[in-house]
Amino acid sequence: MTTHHLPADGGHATVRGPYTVPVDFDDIRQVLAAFERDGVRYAIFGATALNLHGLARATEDLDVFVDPTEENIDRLRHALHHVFDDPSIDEITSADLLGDYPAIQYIPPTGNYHLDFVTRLGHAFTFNDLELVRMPFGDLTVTVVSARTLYRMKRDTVRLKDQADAAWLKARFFGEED
Amino acid sequence: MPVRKFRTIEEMNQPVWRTPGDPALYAAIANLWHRSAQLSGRRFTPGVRRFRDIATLEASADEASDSPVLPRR
Repeated sequence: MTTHHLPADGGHATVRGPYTVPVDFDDIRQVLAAFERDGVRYAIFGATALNLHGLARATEDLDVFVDPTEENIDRLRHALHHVFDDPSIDEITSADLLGDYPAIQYIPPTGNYHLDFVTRLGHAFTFNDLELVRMPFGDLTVTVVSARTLYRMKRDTVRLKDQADAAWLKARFFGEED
Repeated sequence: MPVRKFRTIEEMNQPVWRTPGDPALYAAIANLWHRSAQLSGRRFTPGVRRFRDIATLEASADEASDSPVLPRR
């Protein structure tokens, strides 16, 4: 098992007492590498997707749409166990994600960011509704919702930061088109 | 180009888009995430939380983001 290690010799992943800094590119990269290695069917959306489409933006989370099958949720848990030495990962269950709790937030022991897993977004989006693209993430290739899907996800939300993201996506990719 | 000049604030605040696959994009992402985390120093309570919909999850995350930042040690 590969366990998530933070270097103890300073740098940008130093642990200082109970408070840790920071979320960084390598943390997210490790999670995505595990998804790829274990064959998880997933799609990145949200702010990280916006980053990968070309607009660097700060974020505290990784939003992941997960194909809602029991086998895939097993793979998801397996992948997370490869990265984090954390028994609470077993609380991420297909019973919840395929049932009454289609949104699960996992905060790793480091506590410096959260992974948000969803299997459906209201009645608007299921996994099969997503337009997906494969995109580079450093030296990895990962699955991301397309710019159009990302725009549609963000366009109709009430959060101001999502509306701003939608406006930027529209200006960059679609112009006057809607 | 250490100095850039703009005629308006709006012009200054235009987002900088880079091309996926361009190493400069990933360097910018890594740098930005690192710096924002250094500034924030925020810590969330580890574990698993279940939500009945994404809106509730986002509201919870936003509430955590608005909470006071814990001091670094």
